[in-house]
Amino acid sequence: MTPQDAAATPGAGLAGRVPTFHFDRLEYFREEKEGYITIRSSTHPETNEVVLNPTANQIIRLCDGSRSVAAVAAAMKGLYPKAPPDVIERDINTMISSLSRMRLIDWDGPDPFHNPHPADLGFGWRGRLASEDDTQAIVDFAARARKSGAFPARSPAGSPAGSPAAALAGSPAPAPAWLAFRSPLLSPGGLGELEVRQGLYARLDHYFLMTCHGADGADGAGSGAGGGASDGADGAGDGAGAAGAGNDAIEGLLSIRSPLPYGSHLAVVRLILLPRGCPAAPAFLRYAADLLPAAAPFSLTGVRLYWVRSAALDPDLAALIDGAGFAAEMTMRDEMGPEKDLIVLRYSLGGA
Amino acid sequence: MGVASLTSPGQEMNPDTARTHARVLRGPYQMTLDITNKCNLRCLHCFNRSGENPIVEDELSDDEVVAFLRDVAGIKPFNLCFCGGEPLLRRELLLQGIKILADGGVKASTVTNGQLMTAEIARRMADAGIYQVQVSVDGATPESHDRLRNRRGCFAKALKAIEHLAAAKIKVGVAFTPTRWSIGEVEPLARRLRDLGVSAMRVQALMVMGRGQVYSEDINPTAGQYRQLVGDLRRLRNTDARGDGFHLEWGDPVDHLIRFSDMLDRCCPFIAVRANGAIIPSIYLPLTVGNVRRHAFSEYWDAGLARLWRLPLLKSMAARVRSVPEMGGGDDGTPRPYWERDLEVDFIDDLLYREVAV
Repeated sequence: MTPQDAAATPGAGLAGRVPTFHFDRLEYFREEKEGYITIRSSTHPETNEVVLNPTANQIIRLCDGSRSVAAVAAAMKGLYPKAPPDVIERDINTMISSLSRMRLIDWDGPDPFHNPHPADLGFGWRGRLASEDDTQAIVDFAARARKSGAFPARSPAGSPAGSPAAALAGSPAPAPAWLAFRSPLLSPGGLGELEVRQGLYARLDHYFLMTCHGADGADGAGSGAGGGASDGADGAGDGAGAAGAGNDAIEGLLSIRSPLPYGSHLAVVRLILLPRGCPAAPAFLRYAADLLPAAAPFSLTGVRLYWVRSAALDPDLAALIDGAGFAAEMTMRDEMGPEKDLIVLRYSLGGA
Repeated sequence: MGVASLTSPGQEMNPDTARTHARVLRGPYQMTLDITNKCNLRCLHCFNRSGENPIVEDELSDDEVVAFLRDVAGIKPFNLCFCGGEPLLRRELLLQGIKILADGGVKASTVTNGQLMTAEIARRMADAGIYQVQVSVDGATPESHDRLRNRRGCFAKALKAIEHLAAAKIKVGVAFTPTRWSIGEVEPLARRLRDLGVSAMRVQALMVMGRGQVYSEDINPTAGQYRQLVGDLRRLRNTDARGDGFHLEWGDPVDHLIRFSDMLDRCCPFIAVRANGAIIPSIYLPLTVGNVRRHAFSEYWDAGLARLWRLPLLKSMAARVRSVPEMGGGDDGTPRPYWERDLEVDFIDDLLYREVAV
């Protein structure tokens, strides 16, 4: 079964769930005329001011933690007996989905609008799709990886032409614990809290996460990531090597950004951070590729990966990318400066 | 039951929704007030010629400012920023104004060159309920900053002001205007500001207006320098691993002229007021559309000021400024902003609300 098959319909089982709207998370509230209100979320200030019409205003006041979505709908149907019941239910679901994304609604359990699509990757490793709740864990993980040398300040120059892997490969990277890549075109930012959260909130950046669980995972880590980590740079013991048994700590991630220009259907690989030698890495990339079309808010036909020829790519990472099915699409000569050709690889999403 | 909706006036382009917003909003969300155009400095780049422009001798009295702010507090915008001039030249009025707004649930912020800031004033600002203070720092060294600020010793005082504000636990931002000689200093400045507890640094192109137009040839960075700056900013953001929330912004002063005119003309939630009470759609255009001395601001708003940007006159003026070098104006018969008197019309008295009715 593919992750898409497993994907639950967003909001499935919603009727019985209990939403609570948090007025205390508003940094701004203004009563407008004719029953309208303006709100501004303190947890998502980037959404700026949002106007709710009188109906929406009534809905959020019913979401007080004492009634289910079905009960909210029943109350609204009572207030508006002439309105089509299905329209009322649709409106409520749309409304609380938006407010839930803005973190203004909490639920009596997991967020019903997010399915992490957990999957077993083998060797004790698992993959899942990040939600906004993972923001801090992602930030901490990236900081840990950076601290342990995942992103050296300079990469050695020179890389041969040929197959995609050969075109990308160069001198071994000086960060033995990690297979690390970041796009030369897209800002990975500092992977600070604000940017990660906004990317997740906007469904713009998709973070696929790897975690390690169980005894066989420890075996895998022992022969792969754990071994690499033990030889790693300062701090690596807290980095890739932390792939201990049975916890949900992030041990690897892949970040892909949805296309920004309207009409574009090509996502872009933004960041890869994987423990070197992890036996589940190929399965992790396949998992992400399978899940991406379902996770993205737009239809996608493929994923691009950009690389600057003058900067060598870790040979192990190049082989991993090659093995995943990325193919050379074009080379843009001197695009990034003199002697800095931009190499474009492309992965075609199946069935798109 | 109407369809439940949740919409953002700052982004909405649907005409029906925007029309509804213009009808139901009690007031704008963002406002600025030049609490004075008097200034204790004569900075080479000052876009509104603070201290020397045609407005400084005709400023609102303390009572007029207080009446205006009480009116504004009643309609509760999200934020009002006290601009200048140097706002601390009207210190007691500023503190009173901050309190009026804060008590009304409005986030009050201010800009300052920092020269008059003391620990005591910072503490009083905090007590009054200030939300944020933006200090101007235009270089990483005293030489760079003071050269633009046109007086020795300004740099040290600006940094000291930041320290006073941070000690009073006030959120501090910094505005940095790059010049030909300081444009390469963004990185060391950003580092220093972070260490001082600054939360955001806004870098914006030098505006070729006012004194900035006079001294443009001496101070305005070259296109190549700007290109380098944008690269520096991008690299800074990319290599920032501290995750302490420091925000680095590359501002665009022209953006709103296009956005308001083209996208938000059916409902624009931003309004500015000059030191003489004139209501203006943009601080960069020489057009006033009312004055709080004639009518209360809320009266203008209720008359339909949200649709101000539908005025053909305003659209045509904004259309003349599509780039930073075009901001100075004066080549097409319209007044040079801050050199000559603005074109003055009145949204209520001249029945302009009829022109924007939709």
